[in-house]
Amino acid sequence: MAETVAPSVADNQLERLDDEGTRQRYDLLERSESMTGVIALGRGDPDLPTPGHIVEAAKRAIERGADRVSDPAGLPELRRAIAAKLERENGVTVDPAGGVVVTTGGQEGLFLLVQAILGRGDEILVPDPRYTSYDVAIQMAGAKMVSVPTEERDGFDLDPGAVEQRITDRTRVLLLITPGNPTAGTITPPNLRRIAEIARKHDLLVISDEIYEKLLYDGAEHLSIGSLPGMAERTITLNGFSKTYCMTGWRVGYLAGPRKVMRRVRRLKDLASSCAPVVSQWAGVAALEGPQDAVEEYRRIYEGRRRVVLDGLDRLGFTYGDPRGAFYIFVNAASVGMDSIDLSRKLLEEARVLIFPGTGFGEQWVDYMRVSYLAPEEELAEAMSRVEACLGLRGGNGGAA
Amino acid sequence: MTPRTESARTKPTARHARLIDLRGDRLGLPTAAHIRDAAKRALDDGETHYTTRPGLNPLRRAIAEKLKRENAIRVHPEREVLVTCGTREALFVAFHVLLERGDEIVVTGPAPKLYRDVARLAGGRARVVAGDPADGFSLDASEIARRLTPRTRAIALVSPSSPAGAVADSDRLDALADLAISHGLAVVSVETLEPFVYDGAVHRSIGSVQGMGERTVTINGFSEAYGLAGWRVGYMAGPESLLGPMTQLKQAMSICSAAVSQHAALAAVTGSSEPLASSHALVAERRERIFAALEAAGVRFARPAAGYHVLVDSRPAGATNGSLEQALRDARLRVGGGAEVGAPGWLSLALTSPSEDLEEAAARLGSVLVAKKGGTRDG
Repeated sequence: MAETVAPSVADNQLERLDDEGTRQRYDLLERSESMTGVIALGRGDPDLPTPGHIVEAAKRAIERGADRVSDPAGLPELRRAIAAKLERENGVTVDPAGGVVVTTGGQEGLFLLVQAILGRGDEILVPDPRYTSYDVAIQMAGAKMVSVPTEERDGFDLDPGAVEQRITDRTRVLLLITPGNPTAGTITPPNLRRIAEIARKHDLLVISDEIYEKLLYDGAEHLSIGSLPGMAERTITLNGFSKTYCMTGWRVGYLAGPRKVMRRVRRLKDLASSCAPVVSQWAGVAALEGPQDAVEEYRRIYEGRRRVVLDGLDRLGFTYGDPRGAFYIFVNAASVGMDSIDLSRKLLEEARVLIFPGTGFGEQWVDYMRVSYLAPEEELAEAMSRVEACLGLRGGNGGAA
Repeated sequence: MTPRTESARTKPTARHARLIDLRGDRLGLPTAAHIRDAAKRALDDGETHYTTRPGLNPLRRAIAEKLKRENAIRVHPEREVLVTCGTREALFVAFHVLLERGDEIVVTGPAPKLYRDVARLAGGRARVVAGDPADGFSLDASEIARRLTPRTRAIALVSPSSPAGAVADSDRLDALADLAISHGLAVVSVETLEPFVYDGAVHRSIGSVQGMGERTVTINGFSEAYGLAGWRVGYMAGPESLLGPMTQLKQAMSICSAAVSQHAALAAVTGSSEPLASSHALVAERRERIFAALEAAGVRFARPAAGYHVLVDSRPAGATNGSLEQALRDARLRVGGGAEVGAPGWLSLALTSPSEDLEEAAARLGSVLVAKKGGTRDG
């Protein structure tokens, strides 16, 4: 050991932390924040405010005193409200005392859960394209991600056959996210039922990320896999407040599932950050127990915006998988003839529109772009015009590039 | 750590009907009014969205200034400061980035079990190297040098330490710095007890020592002195080579820290120092009261220079004897075991209860230890 060796992080540790998709997205985001006049259709951060009654409840909690940490699993009041919500709205039965852990956002929930249930060499099936921030969680656990492709023509629904084909004797977990990010596709109930059968047959745990459950369009249906026969014992439902109640900055979400798994998650939560922020937890209580009008009000706003973007995309001649949920559209921009990362950069620099490249969600998605419609309709229309002008496309000609 | 519940086997006696539990690690002080107001204003201003991933820019600037002003640590506010969900997340992130499977980290002790648990979770192993009780459990670089192995990657320096309350002075820090530099080790410097230094001791940050800036990650927060424990906000600062990957992991874990909590922290670090002064005074009073009561009860203890714990010597009474535990239970007294923190033969008392309870606890402890001593052997 030389006298002047600076400490460094080992290469394979850096590899585990590496997540090309997230880096692409954040590089663009940071670039866009240094520019003026950008219409940001990138990050999945709702522009709408947290409903007023939730903010007021949080302020009252601050007054009352939210100074002390809660149990690592969360405030009992919040865990009870979560268990009641899951029973009432999702048909999922969990024990509020031992089967729920409140986390610092859904992302921490996924991270801790993956550490709790996956070991070295274990395999987890993940639909592709995917939210790549989950990669780091899987890599840190030493587990192996096995992609299950989904297709634009199926609206990015998950094909049970494609899932079953990829199961090996090392497969432990199946990750589902419906409605999906980045695709906005949903797993249709008949497929979800078949997937549940497959999970039972192969004795898999299922992580069901349902964070976009309230954002559905064109009559799409949400089904919680944890409510299906024999699934409660093997399903961990992941949800939160960020997307339903526009609460991204509060950092509060939850996991709910079998006590045996949740006991380990609670222990990890304690080591990772003691508990979720307590003010935010009280905001969560208010969100679940207060009036729900804002949820539908926001959904209708998104529905209007979605129409504006879809009309714009149709005009540009782009195709997309049927976006039945969330607030994204996964657009096929192959007709432009550029790699998506280059197209993203071009649109940002020349049209001042931030749209994430498909490769931010899996390296092979070079022909795709993820549009998030988290801006007022006028801005969305303006963004579509700018894209049209920038690419030299004219209405309905199917792409001039 | 997890609050424990009272043992079901406890049989209260008439004399000690009320349980006194001194196993905590939280003071539980209320958030100061000006901090609460700032948080409420932030909510009114619609600060309910994700913040910049590594933390609000003004907060990171204020932290960098604090580190420069009070700790003589120079860091770039945007590239070398990361706001975390409390110091616990910072520790989790630091250990997970620095340690690979089979790696070791030396932890200056006595130290809470948390350090061993997090190291194990990261696939590594923590070696807690406790200072000599006769030396106030102070940091001993030569003992640490003997405990380094080819797998040692880093040293976690906890100064002021907990629960012994030792404050490493300049000479000791310099010796540790030499060791870290000559062995190419990173140092994780946990300084959360900085606001609770007494008896003329002076806290100094190892990140300010010549040659240490490039290898030190400093961890601190706001929880105890500002009454912000429930808000979950702390920070880590250090060279970009280490902070970069740590920021990546933090992002993968929790994206950013809660916006409202960051605004509370900003008010804490830029606002009145009154909360610091009053929590310092509160602990000062508790210290003096329990020290006096311990002396009056004939209990030997190591007077800590910092923090809000005190280690009591139970060796004369036979600390490893299960009957001591039973005697403590009978006295309706819960205290931390020294073995768990790397100080076998000692008991750890947290000054997390009001002074009256601390005095009562000291008296009960006196009866238990003196009775045990008389009952088991002479002296």
